[in-house]
Amino acid sequence: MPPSPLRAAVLGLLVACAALGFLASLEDALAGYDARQARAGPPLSWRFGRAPVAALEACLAAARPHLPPGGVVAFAGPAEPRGDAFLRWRWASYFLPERDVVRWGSAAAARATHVVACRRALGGDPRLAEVARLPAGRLYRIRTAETAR
Amino acid sequence: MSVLLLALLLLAVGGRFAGVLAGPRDGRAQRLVLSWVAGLLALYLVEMACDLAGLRWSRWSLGLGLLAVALAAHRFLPRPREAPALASDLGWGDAVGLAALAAFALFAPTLWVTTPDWAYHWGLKGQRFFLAGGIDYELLTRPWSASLHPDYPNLLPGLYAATALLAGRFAAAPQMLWSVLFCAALLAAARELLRAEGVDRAARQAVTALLALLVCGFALRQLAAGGADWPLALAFVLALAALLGARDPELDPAAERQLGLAAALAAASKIEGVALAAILVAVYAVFRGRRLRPATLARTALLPLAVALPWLVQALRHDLFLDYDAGGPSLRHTGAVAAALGETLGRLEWSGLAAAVWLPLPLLFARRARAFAVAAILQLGFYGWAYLSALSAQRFYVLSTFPRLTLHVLPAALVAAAAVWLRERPR
Repeated sequence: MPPSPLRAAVLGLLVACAALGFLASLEDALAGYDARQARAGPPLSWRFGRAPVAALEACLAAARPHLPPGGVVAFAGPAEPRGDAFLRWRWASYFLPERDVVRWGSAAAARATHVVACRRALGGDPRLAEVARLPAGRLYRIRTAETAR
Repeated sequence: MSVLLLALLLLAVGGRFAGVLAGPRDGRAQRLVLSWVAGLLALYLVEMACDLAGLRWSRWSLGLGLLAVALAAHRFLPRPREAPALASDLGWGDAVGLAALAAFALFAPTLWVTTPDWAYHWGLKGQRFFLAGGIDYELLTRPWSASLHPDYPNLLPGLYAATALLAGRFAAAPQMLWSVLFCAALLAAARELLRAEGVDRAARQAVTALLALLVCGFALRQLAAGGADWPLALAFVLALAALLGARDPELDPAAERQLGLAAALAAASKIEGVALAAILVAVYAVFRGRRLRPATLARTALLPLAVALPWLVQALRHDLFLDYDAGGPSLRHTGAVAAALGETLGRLEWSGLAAAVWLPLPLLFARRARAFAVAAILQLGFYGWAYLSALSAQRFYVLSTFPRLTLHVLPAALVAAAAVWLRERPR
C-alpha cells in the first residue's frame, strides 16, 4: 500500500523543521566557537575554550610545578560575586585532578598546605607566604604554627 | 585513537553475546550495537570485580579480565546465527543522519559542545580513577566531594579511565568520541527497530533523518558531549523491542534479553538509570502478565542486578549516598517545581519539536506502545519526585537538569510513535 500524501507531507514538514533547527544549532555552535576567546560571562555559562576557562587553566597549570605531590590545595577565585565561587572551584578541581582542591575560606581549607589564587590577591593575609607569581594569580604557602615561628 | 581501539576491543569481547542477544529479525547493525553494549558492560563488570577484589586497574588487569569474559562467552554461549539477508535499504535519510552525526563528531573533540558536567564530575572522576588505578573512594568520601555525585554508578568514569590507561595519559578531547559512539548506536538501534517493526522504507528514511537531526542538533545546542545521558537514551531505545511486543502472544526471547541488556546499561550509567532499569523490568513484567514465566523474568533481571549489586554494595560500604537520596518528596515544593518545569518546557530547543516530550501521553492510547508510554511516564515521574525531594534551589535544579534529561525519553518516544503509527503490517 503506497504511503498517503498526507503522511508524506507531515513527515516532510517534521524533517524540514528538524533540519532548520539542526542548522541553527550548528550555526550557533560555529559562531560561538569562533568567538570563544572574546566571550567572558559568569561561570554558569563557561565552556571549554572560553577566555575565563583558558585563563583559569593557565593559572593552575603554572601553579602545578610548585605544589608538593598529593595533599590538599585551596583555591581562591575572585571574591565577587560570591555566588560564582562554587562553580569556579569545580572548574579549578578539574584542572588540578591530581590534587584535592578545596575552597579557600571553607572549613576544609584548614587541611590545605597551599592556596592558588587566580584573579585574586591575598597578599595582606598574614597566614600566607607568597611562593610564586602565576598568570593572573599568585601561589601562597599557608604558614603553620611551626613555619611562622 | 585509543577510543576507537577500545571501542573495537569491546565490540570483539561482546561479539559472542550477539548469539543470545540478537533475534532472527535483527540485522547486522543491530548486532553490532548489541555486541558493543555487551562489551561495555563486560568492561564495567571487570572493573567492578577488580574494585571488589582490591586489584588495581591497569592494562593488564582489565585486559585479562576482558579476555576471560571473551573466552567464557566463546566456551558457553552459542555461535551467533547469521544475520538475516536483508536487502540494503540505505537512502537519503541515512545520508542526512550520517551528515548530522559527522557534524557532532567533528565538534565534540573541540570540547566546545562539552557539558560543564564533564568538568564538575564525569571528567574529573575519569581522571581521578585513571590516576588512582580504580574507583577513588578517598576522593568520593571527602566531606567536600558531595558535588561530585559520589553515589553514581561508574560506567562512564570507568570507560574514560580505561581509555586513558590504554593511551597512557588522560586527554579530554578524544574522550568526547564516546558520546558520538553512543549517539551513533542510538540512531542505528532506532533504525533497526523501525525495520523490524515493519515501518515502510520511505517512512523509515524520514524518521531516521528526523531523529538524527533532532538528536545531533540537541547535542550541539545543549552541550551533550561527555555527559552520561547518552547511555540512558540508548537504553530506552534498546528496550523498545520488548516493550512494544510485551502483549504479543509470542515474543522472541532475544527481545527480553535486549530489555535486560538495556536495563543493565541504564543501571551502570547514572542513578536515574537505576530507576529506569527497575521501571523497564517492572513495566515489562506487568504488561507481559501471565505470559511471563518466573524463570524468564529472573533471566531478564539477572544482568541489571549483576550490574547494580556491586555498585550498591560499594556505595553502602563507603557510605556514598547523599542526603538528597534519603529524603522523600515534599509537596511544599510543588508550585516551584511546576513553574520551573513549565519554564523549561517553554524554552526547550529540540528544533521546535520539544512537544514530542509529551508523546508518551497519546501513546497510552496505542495498545502496542502502552508499555513504553507507562515506562516513559514513570521515568518522567521519577524526575518529578527527585525535584520535589530536593532540599533547596528547586528552580535552579529543574532549569539546569531537565533539558538534558529529556534526551532519555524523547528519542525513544519518537521511535515508538513511528513504530506504532507508521507500520505497514497491522498486528
